Amino acid sequence: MKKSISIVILILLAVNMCCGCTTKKVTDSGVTLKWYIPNDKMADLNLVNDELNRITQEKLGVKINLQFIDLAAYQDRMNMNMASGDDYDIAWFGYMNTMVNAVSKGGLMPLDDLIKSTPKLAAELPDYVWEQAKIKGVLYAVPNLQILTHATALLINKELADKYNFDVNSLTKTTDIEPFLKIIKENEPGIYPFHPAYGVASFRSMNEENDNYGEYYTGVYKDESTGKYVVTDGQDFGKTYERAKQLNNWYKKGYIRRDIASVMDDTSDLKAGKYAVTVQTYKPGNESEFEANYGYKVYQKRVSPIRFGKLQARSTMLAIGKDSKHPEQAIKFVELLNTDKTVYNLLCFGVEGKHYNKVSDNRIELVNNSGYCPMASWKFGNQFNAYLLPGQPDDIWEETKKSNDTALRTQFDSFDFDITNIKNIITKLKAVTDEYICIRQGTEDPDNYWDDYKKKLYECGVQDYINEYQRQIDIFCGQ
Amino acid sequence: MLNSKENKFAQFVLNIALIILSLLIIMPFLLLVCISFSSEKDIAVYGYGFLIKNFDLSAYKYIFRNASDIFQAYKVTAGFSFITMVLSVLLMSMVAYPLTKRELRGRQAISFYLYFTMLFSGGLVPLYILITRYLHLDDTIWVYILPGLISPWFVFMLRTFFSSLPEAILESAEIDGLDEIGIFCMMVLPLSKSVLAAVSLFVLLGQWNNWYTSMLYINNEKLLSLQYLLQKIMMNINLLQQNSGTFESSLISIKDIPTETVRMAMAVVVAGPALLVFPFFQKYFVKGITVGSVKG
Amino acid sequence: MKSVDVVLSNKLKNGGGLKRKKYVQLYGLCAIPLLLVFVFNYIPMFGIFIAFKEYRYDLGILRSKWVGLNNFKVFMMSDDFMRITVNTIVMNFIFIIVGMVCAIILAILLFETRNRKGVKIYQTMMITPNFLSWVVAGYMVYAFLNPDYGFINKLIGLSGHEKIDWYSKPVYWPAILTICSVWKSIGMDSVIYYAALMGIDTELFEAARIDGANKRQEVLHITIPQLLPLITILGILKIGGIFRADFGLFYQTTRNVSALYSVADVMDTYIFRTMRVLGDMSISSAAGVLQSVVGFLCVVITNYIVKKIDPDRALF
Repeated sequence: MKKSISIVILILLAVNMCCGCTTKKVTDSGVTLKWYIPNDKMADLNLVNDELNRITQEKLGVKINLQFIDLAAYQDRMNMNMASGDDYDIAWFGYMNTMVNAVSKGGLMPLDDLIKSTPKLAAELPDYVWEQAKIKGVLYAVPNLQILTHATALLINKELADKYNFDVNSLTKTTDIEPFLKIIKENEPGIYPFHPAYGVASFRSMNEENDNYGEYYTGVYKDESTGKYVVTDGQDFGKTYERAKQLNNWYKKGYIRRDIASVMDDTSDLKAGKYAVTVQTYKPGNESEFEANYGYKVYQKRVSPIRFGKLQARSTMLAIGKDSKHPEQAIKFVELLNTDKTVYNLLCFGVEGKHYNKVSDNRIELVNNSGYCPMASWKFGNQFNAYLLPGQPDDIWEETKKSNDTALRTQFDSFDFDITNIKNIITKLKAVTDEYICIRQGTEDPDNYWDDYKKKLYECGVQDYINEYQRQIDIFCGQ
Repeated sequence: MLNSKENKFAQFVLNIALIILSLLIIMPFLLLVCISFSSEKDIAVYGYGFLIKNFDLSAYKYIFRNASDIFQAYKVTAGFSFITMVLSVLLMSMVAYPLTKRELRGRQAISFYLYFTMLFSGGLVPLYILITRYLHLDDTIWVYILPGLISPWFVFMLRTFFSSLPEAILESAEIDGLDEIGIFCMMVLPLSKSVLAAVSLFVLLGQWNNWYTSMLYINNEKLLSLQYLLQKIMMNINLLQQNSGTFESSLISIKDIPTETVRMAMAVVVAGPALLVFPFFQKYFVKGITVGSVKG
Repeated sequence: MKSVDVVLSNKLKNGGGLKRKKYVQLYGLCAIPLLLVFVFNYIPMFGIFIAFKEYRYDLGILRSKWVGLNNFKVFMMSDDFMRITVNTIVMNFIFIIVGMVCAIILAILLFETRNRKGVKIYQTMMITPNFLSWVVAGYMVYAFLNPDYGFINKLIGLSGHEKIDWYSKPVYWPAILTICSVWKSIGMDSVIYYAALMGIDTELFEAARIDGANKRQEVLHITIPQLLPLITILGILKIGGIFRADFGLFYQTTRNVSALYSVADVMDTYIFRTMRVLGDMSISSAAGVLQSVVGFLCVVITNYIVKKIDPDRALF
């Protein structure tokens, strides 16, 4: 018995040693990859960069030149960089500095071939996420995996809810909160009951019975009699009028602050806790994030079904510049960011001991006033690999992943509306919508302006928009 | 007929009117100062006002808590502003002086050469390409200084002034054996103190207010200009507002957006020195502009 | 001390040599400045081509497709074009007229004041806004017009009236922008007019007084006419720039609020936005070139008109 055990141990040791032998040291190629991230400067960036280089040199034989560009300047800088043929290797693209814009001007390197050399990366993200990063079938960027669903959630000031014994769990749709708003209005004069950040979208549940596959200006539905998908006016289809009326109703009752139209920036008010109820995207762990940002506790209650956020993966991605001289190494580095927890968390949270302390295997606590605290894990890679912060439930990433995978999907999720033919119309339509911001703020009674609004939209060519949309849907569905 | 009493009264009214006007003009800045010294609570309750109910230095404390940023920006801004001022005025004078000589061939051409740039410009992109890819000036202090050294407007102003200098003096210098460079250095420049001071001040203050260069060309946080720090705050706020209510707004952290009083304090900190410097130049200044722009 | 004759004969002897030295030195003085202008102003001018091309990052300036005047067409036929052009020209025109009138009146007031020391103090105070950046000035406007905390709304509230949502009502803004523009420039402009007034021959005033003219007549018949040459030149120059708006003024004071675009969106803010947000180099470049060309034409035309009226007063 002893003999066989020792033989097994010997064999194991031998195998172990061989494995140690086979991991050969990667030779330094002398390459430095330039990487742009939008973030305000951090004092310890160099420290983190050095640590990063230590790892990347060992694993990939490359160094990284990580540059933080001020968020406010990022768009301008990237425009200039792309226009001047800057040879950066990797840069962040997303809700600003959009991938679509960059691709339309030929600023990005196609990744289809490169991704073949990084199978781990290809496997890390689900197919439906990769689809969103493609334009006309060509892959241009690597999305940073995070929450991809969209549902409306109400965030209710915990202190106030507890004070008036309001049962947050009883809420099923936004309008259910009205009694609470009434209580606040009557009893708390210094507090604004409702923050209309989402405007009519807050009342999304009013239109839940209609599955809309379209977008703001278009409503797409299946005509059962013909089996075809029909595109129609988005405002009518989305019951925007009804929702605007509801919002205005609340405005008239005083649940929305009287001067909402001209409030330039209410960050101070939000920080001061002057709003009883705010609306946000439903996100597991929203409560702790909100508390970290604004300094007071809230309850989060989802009030609409979880829908898959079409093209939401485009909100944050990394892409390789068309003038990059080292695309092969660049894609390998992006793979590292998305698959290697050590590297990823180094970038998210800094150096252990200096910028954060581990509480358990997967959970950390940040050091106060440390020199590195971007608080933006979604910029660097797969967010599901991030360590857990105080307030985030243990299963937050599992839950989010589940949410992503099980969200209500439609076959139009990968439909990418090409706007090149109607670019002019879009600017005009946007101008009209901007002008009628009262829709989203509830300051005017729709009865007074709705007809004018619709008329203006049609004058600006929304029918052409709808026709173009129908044309592309037809091609997409093969009908 | 002049009535002494009437006259005195008229003068009195005139002075009062001018005092009121002057105060009205400075008032906005005073408002900023007052707000910056108020407490945030008072602002929330009473709004912006000239009455400081509770003198509160917390806004300034907050700014100078990250003092190294601000002091660095001060150093950098003062640095490139002064260097530009000296170089610019010198170089512009160097081209303005020959332009006063009627016998100089190509004088018209040179004038037009300069004037043309006031009208046409190639735009931002080529300049960006030139500066970053060919001259590699980005992330250096020279990107603040070099591109704007010659301003045709001031060159013409200097030329006008130089041509108003009495010819006799210049001729006598020539007789004394001075060559053109000598005349330029020994006679023209010393005699033009007032206009040089005026132009210097303009250049200096123009540079002091520069933020766009920082935004576009500077990555090294040790080279940021003062005005940019201020502008950045507003841009961050705008970003937040534009994306408010969208999915993306949850991606933007507002933790670092400062309060109302802090913003006003920053404006005071940035603008203050410029305003303090100015009275010292005032003596030369008024005289300088007047002769430079009126004659001819 | 050499006699003039000796020097003159020397000059005649070395005529060529001295002259050459003189010219070499003069051109030498110009050399560096002109080189700087060439590098930073003329070389980038090749960027004007972007206005005529459909600019793509991967093709660069040289290889992007030539589309001739198409960008200009797109720009000029967009609905925005009418609005921004009208805004730019109308607002600039108002600024020029109101600004000039105010500056001249102020200059005259300063001129009539006996208290010279006071004048210096007033002028110093009044010039200060000129040196503030629009970023800072924008904060000041905000301090006044903030709907919640602003000073003006506070006063309105105290007097019992309803507060006004300044940043969402375009109707107030032509006036607000004009006030801001005048506030910033009145100090500097009035100094220039003041200097001109100081240069008027006092004998003219004496003569007028002897003839029994009162203040009003004096101002109308002497002071202002004497200022006309300056007014004309400055006027021409300003009209030459009528197609260019003061970006800072329109962008910072309005906080780039979209509700105000109908009156406050001008060429420069539009170009800035299209470049930033859409990254659309072609259109913004075309707009910039258009501005330059029109500005140039304006100067030439105005100068021509002035030449017809009074040749002495023209710029060139």
